[in-house]
Amino acid sequence: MISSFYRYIDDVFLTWNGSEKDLIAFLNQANTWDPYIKLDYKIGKSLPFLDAIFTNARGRLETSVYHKPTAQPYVIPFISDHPRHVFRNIIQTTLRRAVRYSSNFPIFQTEQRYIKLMLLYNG
Amino acid sequence: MTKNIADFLDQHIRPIFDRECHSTIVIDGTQLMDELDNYMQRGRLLPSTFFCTFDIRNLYTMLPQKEALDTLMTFLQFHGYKQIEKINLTTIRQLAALVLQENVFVYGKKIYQQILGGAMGSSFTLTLANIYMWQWQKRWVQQQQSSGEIFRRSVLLHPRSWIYEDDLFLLQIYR
Repeated sequence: MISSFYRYIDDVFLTWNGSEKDLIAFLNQANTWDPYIKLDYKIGKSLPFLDAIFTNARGRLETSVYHKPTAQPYVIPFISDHPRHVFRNIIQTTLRRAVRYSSNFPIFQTEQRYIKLMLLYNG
Repeated sequence: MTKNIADFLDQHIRPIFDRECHSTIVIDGTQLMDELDNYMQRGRLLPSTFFCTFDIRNLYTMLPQKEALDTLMTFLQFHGYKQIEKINLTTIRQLAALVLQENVFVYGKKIYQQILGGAMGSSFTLTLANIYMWQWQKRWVQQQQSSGEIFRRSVLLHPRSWIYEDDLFLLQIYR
């Protein structure tokens, strides 16, 4: 049974308090309501949505930044002729997001390492 | 030329959608995090709770044009609007039809008309897609209701908050 439902344009995130079997049956049924609306679903205790990963760790919510597997860790190279504040902003925004999205310190540290490597990779 | 009409429609209809449907709409990851955190604080996140995400395939280009226009009218009427900026709904529908259906382009040596979906470059397409989804979402409510379970639960927990046929109900249950 659905306990919450959120939609961002064509992406939906919902929570289900019932059996997985029932959820699958329900989703398959939803796919028949409208011939133009077809959905591809994922079910689990840890899923990415938009730019974050949401995990249900035994009843506790854990979150972290999501990096799409197909996305390269690419930002504007440091040697590029952009105004200096652009580079400062990149560092600021990625760190701010890491702080905002990481639900605990070890998760934050992992993301911090990722950011460091990414920045070094881009000069 | 139709761009101005599209912008006009979007300018006036998008705020209506934003106002009426904000409770099940997510604007970014942070907002969802806050909502789920709230949900957990209230003891609603059980170890057995499943997360589920799904993506609608090619929403913008799959929107059925006539049905989308019908849904736009249903949406406005449902929320009590009989006119927008002194323009009556019939005319609004005609304007929207102009933007949505009279989409013609040239490719190679042929002229094509778009018969399914909305223009990807139009801001109005987004609003129309959102409104079409509003209608589709209601089925989730109806299907859950007919299975009986969630209705009983909501009566037990927050009988005052049960609002049938409104997409507020799913969040209201746990507020």
